[in-house]
Amino acid sequence: MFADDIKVILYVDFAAAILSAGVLVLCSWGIIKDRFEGKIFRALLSVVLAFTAFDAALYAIRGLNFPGFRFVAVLLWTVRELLLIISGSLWMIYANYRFYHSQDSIRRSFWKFHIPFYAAMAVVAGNLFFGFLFYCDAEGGYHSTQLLYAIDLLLFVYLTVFAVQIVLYQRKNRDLIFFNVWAFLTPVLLGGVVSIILPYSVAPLGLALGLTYIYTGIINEKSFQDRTTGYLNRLYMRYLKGEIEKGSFRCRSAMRYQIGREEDMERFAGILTPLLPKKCVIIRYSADTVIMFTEVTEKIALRMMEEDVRAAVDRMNAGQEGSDTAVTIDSMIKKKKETPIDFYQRFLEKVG
Amino acid sequence: MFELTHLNYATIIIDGGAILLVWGILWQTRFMRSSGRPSDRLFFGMLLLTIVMAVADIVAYLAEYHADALMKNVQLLSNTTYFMAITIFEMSWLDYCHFRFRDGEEIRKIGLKPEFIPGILMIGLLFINQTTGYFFYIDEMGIYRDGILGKVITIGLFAYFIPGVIDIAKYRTADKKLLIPVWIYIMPVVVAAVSCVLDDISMVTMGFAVTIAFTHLGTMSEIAEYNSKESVL
Repeated sequence: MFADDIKVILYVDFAAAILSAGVLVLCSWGIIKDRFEGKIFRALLSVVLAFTAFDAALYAIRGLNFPGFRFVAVLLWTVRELLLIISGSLWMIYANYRFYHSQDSIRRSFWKFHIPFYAAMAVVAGNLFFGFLFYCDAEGGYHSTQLLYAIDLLLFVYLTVFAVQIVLYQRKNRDLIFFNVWAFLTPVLLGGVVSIILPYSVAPLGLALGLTYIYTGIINEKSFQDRTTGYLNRLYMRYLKGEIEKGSFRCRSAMRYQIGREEDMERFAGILTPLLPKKCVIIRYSADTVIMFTEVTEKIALRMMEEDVRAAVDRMNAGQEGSDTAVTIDSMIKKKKETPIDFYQRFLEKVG
Repeated sequence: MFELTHLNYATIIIDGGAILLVWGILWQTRFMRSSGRPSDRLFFGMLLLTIVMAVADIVAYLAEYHADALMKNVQLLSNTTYFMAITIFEMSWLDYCHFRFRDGEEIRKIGLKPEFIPGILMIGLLFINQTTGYFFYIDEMGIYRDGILGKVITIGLFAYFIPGVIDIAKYRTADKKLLIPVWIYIMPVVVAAVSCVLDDISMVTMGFAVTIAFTHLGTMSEIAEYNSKESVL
């Protein structure tokens, strides 16, 4: 039914559709289904799925001939380009929400933030009438102009610069996030390169692969955060039942986790601390975040050059009970006018 | 050097996508270095087998349409490796499902079990196929052809998926612990197999890669959900 070169694109789109549809279903059942992040991500997946469908559709109709065929072909190409722009826009919203802004600030700056994308959409829509970006011949063949290449290149650079910003953010805040932006960008870049080298469009497969990696990163990250919190909860319950004694808890590495409620925070900082061995300290560094450092030595404390921490370690080394070793460093953070993340980063740098 | 048709290109691109997908999961799971659970080791093995499958498939398609003896042998060996990798993948999948989903039954170690006899037989027959061509052979033009038992490979191999799905379904019905519907794990492989039967493009490797990716995502989602519930006192 279809020529072999068209079949290639149809099958690649088919694979992309299965992948993105499956991840969409998994998202609908999974852990992020009710979150703002989950909603954006599902929207992103839906747009990629629609993009894939349009990509396949316009290749499938190539070679057909019926009245108004050329207009249908141009319309499909236009929708395809618009969906690509929308996916880029949603990617920006998603990345901004995850790394820089709150949900509210994203909503407030929504219009201002996406002006380049709206402009791109208007230009693509205008092309329907003027054909200055791309046009279709009588057989539905796609022909693009140099202007379209220039605009695509600009969009690509725009997204890449933004991605590099996230990479720099991640490098600065290592261990705090599992999401790796290169996991998204690598398949997208490869898809773009293959599409240029070979006469087949594999961009939808690249996008679908990238989104799959992002979803893997999201659930890994969420699972890690909840696991540490859950672990301490179970520990506390065992302590209440008398199953474990003071000082019997030992963990291998520093853990950082978010706690949703202030009372939980107090519980961890205040009640769990007695369970910890001598050379272990819980540091509260914000209203909702606790870091537990294990095997804290005097050397590390000295490197940190923070008097409160050093004093706590001194007390531990002197053999005092662990309850004295819970250190609240809110005041320290305020004094230095740094964010909790800055503090954590500074700690990591000093510890090495 | 290589005479590739459009369909060969399609298979190579799709296999390349499968390798990228599986490699990404390997990277995300940090290559399973720190995990000692049997189910994790099986999962890790399935990921590696998918890569072997994809590489063998790519080599086989690159060697197609070459009539010289060397390339024909390369194609024969690549296809044999491909089918063996699928067979071992299927056996691993069955073991994986037993580990994860058989309620109340302790399976202590990964190993050969009676239900693997058809798989072992299949591997043996693949060796015999090198000289007989019962399953498949490479013709004078250097093109892959199904032998008289060609379809047996597909039927025999995919039969291994069914007991695994039954395990999952029973577990799901009994305990309601699974959040993710079972069909999502199996759907990619079935779709890939159907498309492969209907046309000449090999989507099977991508089907396996997507299935393994969905299994990983589903497992991680469930773990995250449980952890989330446990973290609230």
